[in-house]
Amino acid sequence: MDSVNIPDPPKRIFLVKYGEVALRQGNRAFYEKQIMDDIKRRIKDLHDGNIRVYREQGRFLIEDVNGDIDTDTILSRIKNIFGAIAFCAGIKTTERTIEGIREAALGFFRGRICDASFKVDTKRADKRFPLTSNETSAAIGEYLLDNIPGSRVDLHNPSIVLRVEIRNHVYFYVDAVPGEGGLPYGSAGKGVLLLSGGIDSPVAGYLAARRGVGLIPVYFHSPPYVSERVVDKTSDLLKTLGAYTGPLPLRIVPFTETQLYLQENVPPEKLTIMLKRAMLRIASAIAAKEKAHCLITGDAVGQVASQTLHSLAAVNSAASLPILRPLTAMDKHQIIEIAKRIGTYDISIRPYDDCCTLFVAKHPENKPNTQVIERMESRLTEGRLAELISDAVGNTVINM
Amino acid sequence: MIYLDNAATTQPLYAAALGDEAFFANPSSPHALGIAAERAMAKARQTIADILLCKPKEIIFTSGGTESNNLAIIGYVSALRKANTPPVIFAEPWAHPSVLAPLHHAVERKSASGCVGPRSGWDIPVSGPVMVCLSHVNHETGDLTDIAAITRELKSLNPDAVIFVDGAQGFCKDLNAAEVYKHADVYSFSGHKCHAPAGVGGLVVRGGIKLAPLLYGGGQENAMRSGTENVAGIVRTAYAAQQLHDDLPVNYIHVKNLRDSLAGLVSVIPNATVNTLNQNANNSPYILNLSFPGTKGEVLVHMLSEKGIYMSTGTACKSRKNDKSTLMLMGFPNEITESAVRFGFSHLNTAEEIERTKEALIACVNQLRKIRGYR
Repeated sequence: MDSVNIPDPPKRIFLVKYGEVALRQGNRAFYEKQIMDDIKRRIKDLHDGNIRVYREQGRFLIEDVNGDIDTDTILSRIKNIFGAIAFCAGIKTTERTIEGIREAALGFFRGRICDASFKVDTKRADKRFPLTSNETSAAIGEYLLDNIPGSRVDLHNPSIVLRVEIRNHVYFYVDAVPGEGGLPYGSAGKGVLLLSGGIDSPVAGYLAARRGVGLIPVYFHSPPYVSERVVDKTSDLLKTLGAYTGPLPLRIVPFTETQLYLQENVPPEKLTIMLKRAMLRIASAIAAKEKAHCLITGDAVGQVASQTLHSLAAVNSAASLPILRPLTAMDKHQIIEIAKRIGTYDISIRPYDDCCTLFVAKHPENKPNTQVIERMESRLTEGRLAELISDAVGNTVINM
Repeated sequence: MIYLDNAATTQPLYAAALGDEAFFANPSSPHALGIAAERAMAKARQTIADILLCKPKEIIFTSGGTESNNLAIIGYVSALRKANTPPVIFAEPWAHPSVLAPLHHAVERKSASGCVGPRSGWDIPVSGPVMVCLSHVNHETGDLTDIAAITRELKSLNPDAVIFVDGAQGFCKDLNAAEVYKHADVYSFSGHKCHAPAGVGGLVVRGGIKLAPLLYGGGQENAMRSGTENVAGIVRTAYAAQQLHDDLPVNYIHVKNLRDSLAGLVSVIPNATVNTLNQNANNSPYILNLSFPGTKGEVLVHMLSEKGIYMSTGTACKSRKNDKSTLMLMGFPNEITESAVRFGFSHLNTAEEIERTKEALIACVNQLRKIRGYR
């Protein structure tokens, strides 16, 4: 005689869907582990440590070993994880018979579909289950229809879709909260992010981070020409980005000496380009120290004189690593939209002068000639510039 | 440290002369401690009334200058909300934001009509409710307003016009203040501009003028400002005001010498200017606004701050970058407004401090002008 399995009562769980990562052949396990570790890190202190996170065929499951989970709190902790495309609060049942499953479905969906048209959509990942997806949907739909007064089925235009997933266990959910998508944070390697305190660079950092680039943020500080409050502002921007990435220490590069030196030795219309090149050199040196693979800037083509194609070309050779410019092809309003969504906009618009406003020429060159710039710079490098740059790198402080 | 930002706030003094312990009780409590607190506050109120030449009951203590100015304007407008004609409120564009913002708020809510512009353009209605907002001393330039003369002129046009004077920068800092106190129907003051701690201010409302409160509750301050009184702050404010008032004849000359010495920079630094609305007018010596074209005020502030010298680019209350600065509204050209710095003096400053400030300013202005290629 078969032993009788008595199923556990249904319990509230979280189902996390991940997108692109699931398509990776070779290193899927690596990506999956990254996301799973990130989820665990963010919620391990909840539910007295009774949280269990595990994987089941293309989904992560989050549950409390002893019962229901607090879905709102957990969602607030994990909704910013890169790599996840949707979060579904639902229930799990260990029932394996269609009778048991439809009964559990009735318990979960009853309160959600009074007087509404609905449709049941089943995904059968576990092919050992005897009914097909369509047969399962029909069986559950019929049972709900019979037992929920006022409900009606509409397969084409339902006002609510009831999702059923048959895996090692069976899961029900209705709403999916969209996730950030992208790739797990840090899975692509590291990059040095050049932060100015303005609107663009935090957005560039966010977009790069969403593609898996771990961020090493750097800020070039020129006291007393720039207020100490810009340092606070930049730190606040990083706290906001940290909701996606985890804590981001800020590297503060003392830049006053370099800035003054270039100011004195470069014609005003070329100053911005030379300053940017100096910054890229310093950032490259920091990247080498930190074993980073790229630099990240907030440039967008044509936004200001130093961001024309000619200008971008004229600064590139100062970097010893590729420069990622995630905003390259965006309009300002698109950048602002993202900045508002991720919460950096209100910080970025705090009214402090940055170094650009003091040192910028009235009419900076917008079509600099790369050869001319490089010749000019090599003369300065033979002078004090190389020393100033290496001092700036050496005296960089990390603000935790 | 050389502190020359006394128009923003002053260092609290006289703490040693007054223990806070005696005043911690709630002055509305019936027990002995409450009575002691109430008496201390009554004494403080009398002290300030004597300075302001008003009756003690005409003083409403508030949390500071901003609340006082809000109470004056919003309170006046609210008290008239059932009148047939909404009041007209006049103010100059270079009034403090704590005057202009409540005025705009009242106009936006259609509970008053407002006229913000230079005094020469004011068209005072001959009847109906009118409030005129004037600054005792302008917070940016130190310009003194001739309250007595203006009041006489306005009252001859409309005897019911309410004269409201923002006294934050003038209270206890003007030798002829008695003329101002006497002519103002409503007068606001702030404790922390006169060496009392921040958090206390007040409004004098002459008999016959009706305001509605901003805060409702326990009915303190004759129901004009509910909330347990800040007894310790009020006592300290009265004490500080009394000291400043008594010492003013001496302090005034000292501060004026400091101001004149610093203003002398205009003959040392090329193209430097003293910014004031009327070069011939009698300005308050407690505020001096200077411009050094070819520099930026904010950067000068940072550079001097590194040397332990503290002044400001303008009122700390102006916040948003795109707001027009007071100097812009006064019509100064861009090179003056962007390079302006404001010095606020106190009797605590010394001639030696001013000499060091002058040296530092000369060096920083030259350095910055060189960087920016100014000739």
